[in-house]
Amino acid sequence: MKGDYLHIGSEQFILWKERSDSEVWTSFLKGNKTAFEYIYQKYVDELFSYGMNIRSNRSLIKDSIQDLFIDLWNRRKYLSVTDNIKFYLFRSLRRKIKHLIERDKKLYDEHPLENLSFVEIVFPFEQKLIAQQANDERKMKIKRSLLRLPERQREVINLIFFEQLSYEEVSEILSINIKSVYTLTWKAVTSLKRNILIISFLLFVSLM
Amino acid sequence: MEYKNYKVEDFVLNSRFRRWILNPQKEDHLHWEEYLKKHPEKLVVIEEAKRIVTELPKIDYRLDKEEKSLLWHSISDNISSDISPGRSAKGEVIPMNSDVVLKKASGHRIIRKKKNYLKIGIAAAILLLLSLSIFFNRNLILSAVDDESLRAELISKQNPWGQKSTVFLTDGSEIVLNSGSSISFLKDFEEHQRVVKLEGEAFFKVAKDRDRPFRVIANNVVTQALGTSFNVNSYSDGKTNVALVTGKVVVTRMNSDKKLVKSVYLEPGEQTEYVEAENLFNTKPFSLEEITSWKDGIIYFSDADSKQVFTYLENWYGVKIIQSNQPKEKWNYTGEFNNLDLKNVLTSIGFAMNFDFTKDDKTYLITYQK
Repeated sequence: MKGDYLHIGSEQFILWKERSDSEVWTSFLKGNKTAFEYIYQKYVDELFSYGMNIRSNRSLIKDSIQDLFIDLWNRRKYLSVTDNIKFYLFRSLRRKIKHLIERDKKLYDEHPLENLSFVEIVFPFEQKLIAQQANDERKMKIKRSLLRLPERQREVINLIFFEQLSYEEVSEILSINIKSVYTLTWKAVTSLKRNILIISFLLFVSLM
Repeated sequence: MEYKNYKVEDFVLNSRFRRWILNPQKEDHLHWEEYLKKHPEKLVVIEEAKRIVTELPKIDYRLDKEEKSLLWHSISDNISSDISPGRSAKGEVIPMNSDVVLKKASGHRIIRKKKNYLKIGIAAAILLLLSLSIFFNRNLILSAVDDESLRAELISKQNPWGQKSTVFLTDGSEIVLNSGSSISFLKDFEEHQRVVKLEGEAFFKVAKDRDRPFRVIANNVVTQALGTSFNVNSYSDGKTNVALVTGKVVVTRMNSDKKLVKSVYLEPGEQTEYVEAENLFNTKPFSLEEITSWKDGIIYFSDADSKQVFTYLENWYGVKIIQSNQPKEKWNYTGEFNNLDLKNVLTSIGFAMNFDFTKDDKTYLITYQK
């Protein structure tokens, strides 16, 4: 696939990499298309992953991302300045997804997250760990316990732990108050804690 | 220092704690070391918290490079073209994946697709779009056929045992439907995706339409074609056979969530059989007579045993055939019958395999000679 599609790392982008979020954003607001494409390139992976964690439906998420960026460009004159693009995009994407879900309720088929064959899992801190069966099994189980969390709990875990957004930002993204974010996270962690400890314990016993 | 009443959860939720575990700075080590010195009783709690933080997996979903590039193009083509260098003159129009068609049909957003690929890229792009379109659209298409609300608009054609028929579709495609088989498709078949659901066996002559792949869903196997002729046999549960006569098809397995997971590309003269229990495709050459003769009214047996022969005849003629005693030796029957009635066929086979038969209404009784 060749075309005038730019990849992150292309010369055109090196300029943007060195600039702050608000500089990039301001250029985009002024109609600079490379800045816009840079924003897409930089955040599309995180946006997709975030979206899929809300609703595991590839075409729905891709449509939402597409709509989000088309809207951003067309409405750039009315958008406000931001110094945190990621947060801005996450919040808008979430709105888009919810909106499309409503609109497409009939068209789109929802897929339960339990279907693990399509879920790619990355263990950020043990990525290159040599596959040990016991270890793999434990990971598998931990992964499942994460997937079994209620949607909202999974989402806060994802936003706070992996996307490293603050409680304030998450509360704004989810449009709930900070206290609720904290409660949700607490609940999620408690249930994960139970699972992780039980799983580790059982595997420990089975290895003896 | 705080954290006095901290439980495991509190530590996990504390961003400073997480940073110490995941991405420690110098001051973090100092900070927590000092803390532990003062509160050795917290060691167990902190170890537990650490385990949770390190073991929590991130569930990561990825777009591949082509998807990202396609997505960018559909964004880029839909925004006002004030600054869009080098994307004008030789604009090659490549239809987007068939989402567009379906969305259009349902009054959904329409995305104008206009692309500008290098010449070499065009062929590749078409191929890619074709293969991606299976990937992108599987949910939509399959749910369209399955969706309860759309079922009212489904057209079905069902053959009883002993009867064959030919169905002509509005797009010019032709389906020869074997006995005891049924097909269903959406009423405005052509406007939507070209999707046909099959139970049993049918032979497809697909009218060419590059933009709208033709898909046959049988058991959990999806066969996709552009303009070809092929045979799909799904008589037995958990076993689906696709044989390609002309053109090109891709045969894909669908899992219980309607996701397409495994595919095989067939060349003319190749057949593939998907066996559910083994979850694999078995691809091999086939003889044309063996697979497709049925549609021309020809019964064809090759090294068949008695059970295969009688079951086939039962289905073909819509009758019941019972063996009253066992044959002396194992059958190994080869033969061909061109549009004959059952009486003639049974007489002929009986001559070779040493049996007589009597008829009672729709039941035939086979008696082997002693």
